[in-house]
Amino acid sequence: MGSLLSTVDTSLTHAVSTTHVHMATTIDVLPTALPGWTQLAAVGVGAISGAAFAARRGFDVVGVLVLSVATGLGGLLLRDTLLQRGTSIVITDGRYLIIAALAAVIGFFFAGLVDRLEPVVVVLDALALGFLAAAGANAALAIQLPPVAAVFIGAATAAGGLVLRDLLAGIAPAIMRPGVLIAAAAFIGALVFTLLVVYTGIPRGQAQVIVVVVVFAIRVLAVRLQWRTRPARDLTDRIWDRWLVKPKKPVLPPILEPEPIPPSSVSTFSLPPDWDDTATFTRPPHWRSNDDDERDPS
Amino acid sequence: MSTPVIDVIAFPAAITITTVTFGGLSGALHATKRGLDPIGVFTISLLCAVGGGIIRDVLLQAGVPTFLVNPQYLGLAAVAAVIGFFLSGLVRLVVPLITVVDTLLIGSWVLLGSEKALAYHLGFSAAILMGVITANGGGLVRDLLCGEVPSMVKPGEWYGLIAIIAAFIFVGMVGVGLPIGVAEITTMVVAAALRIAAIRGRWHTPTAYDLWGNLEARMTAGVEESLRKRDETLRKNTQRFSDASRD
Repeated sequence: MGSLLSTVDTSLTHAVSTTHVHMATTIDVLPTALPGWTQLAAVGVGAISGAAFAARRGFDVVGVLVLSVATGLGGLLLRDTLLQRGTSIVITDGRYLIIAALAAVIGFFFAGLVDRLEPVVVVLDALALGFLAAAGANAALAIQLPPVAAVFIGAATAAGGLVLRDLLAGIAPAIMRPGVLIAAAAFIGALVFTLLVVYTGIPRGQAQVIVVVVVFAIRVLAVRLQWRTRPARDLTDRIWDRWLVKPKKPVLPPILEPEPIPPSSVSTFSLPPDWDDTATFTRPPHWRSNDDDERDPS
Repeated sequence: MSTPVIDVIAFPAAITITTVTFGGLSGALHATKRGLDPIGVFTISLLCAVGGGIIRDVLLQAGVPTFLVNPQYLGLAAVAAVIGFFLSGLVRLVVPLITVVDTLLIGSWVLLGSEKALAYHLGFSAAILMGVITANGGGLVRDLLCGEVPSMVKPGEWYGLIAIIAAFIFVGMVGVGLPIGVAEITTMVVAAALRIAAIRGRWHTPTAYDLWGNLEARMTAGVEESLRKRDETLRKNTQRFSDASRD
């Protein structure tokens, strides 16, 4: 029995080690060029917009609190859940929940003010979006996940809060519908961060600042120029026509331009001046009609 | 009986890839039909492909989910999303193929979950739960994100029930001590056969049966009243979901 267990154990460690990434048990804190409160601020901005969203839709106290926490902390929570490196930072660091609760209070009592300050909220949201995209991608790269996974984690960190908010509010997530360009901006931000860190090797703090600027520019341009994402377009028929089926065109003789008629040779026709419009035609007796034979065989 | 333990996850990679690819394709088609934008189509496609695996890995606390460690899954989902986004007409042409492959591979979803649970020293019930979750998780997350009642909990298709049966078969066979390959093949064949029978025979999953009320009616009013009550319950349960099930 003992030998059986030991063989099982060794082989199990083999099986497990193929799926594990052996790294430190905590996610590295981003060595950022930005001060440490920026991540808290990014979370707070998301939480305020979530709380205002809930207040506008008539949720009660608990609803506003839950949606505020979900919108603000959802992205980081999703990141830490997927990366499986111990308890999420939003729970171990008590400041995150306090910020979200404060945001809920603001959203509950001052939803009207938040709505009136919409341009400010849009600007702050745009800044937070790029920040969170970089933070997510950085955490994935820190535990040595492949770059593709880092891009995904970055986009999920930035947009996860919005998805969670809509799920809890009982509506289909808005960022997956055609409309405002948020998730695509987050995706581009995570992509830029990963490319910068992996291929140029510039410090991650600087890369994050660049990503914040890029995503902010995309978001502001998208709002100003009203860029919108589009639903799927079916190109099958077009490709089918273009490449797969080539109908044989019949070879037609070239169409010749008719020769222009010289004006001198154009015949003109005019009725005689004594033409009587009202005259009726009577057949002369020596003309024969077609049905004369049947009527009169003689 | 000792806890069944399998040493290595010995599942053919080709079947895994096929399962994931066709899951992604069906997800992309689903998302395209609902008019989602590119990010939405990719998300739904990815979650249909690996959503069950994500839930499984998070519940097992088994390290980073597989789809993040092997970026090929992300690539497959992206390809499926691009095909679904631009060539939905082509995908609609091969819907019968997708249905057939889905039918044949329902067992492999269950195996992907149950085997990993067994490899992590979990017991019977956990392995069965993991198999069922892996098989249904993708569709569940897909329906949640599309804002619909998950088809897993709606009366109708025999899918979740088959996953449960297949998980019981697999874990039971491994527990009895049969070789894992035999258990795998048997599970896949039985699951596919059940699915085909369910589709061909138009099986409908049963809804709750009010046993107490029926007994009461039978005792007080007779058999006709009991049958009438049963029909009424069935109609009510069907009607409740008819609006949500409209595509």
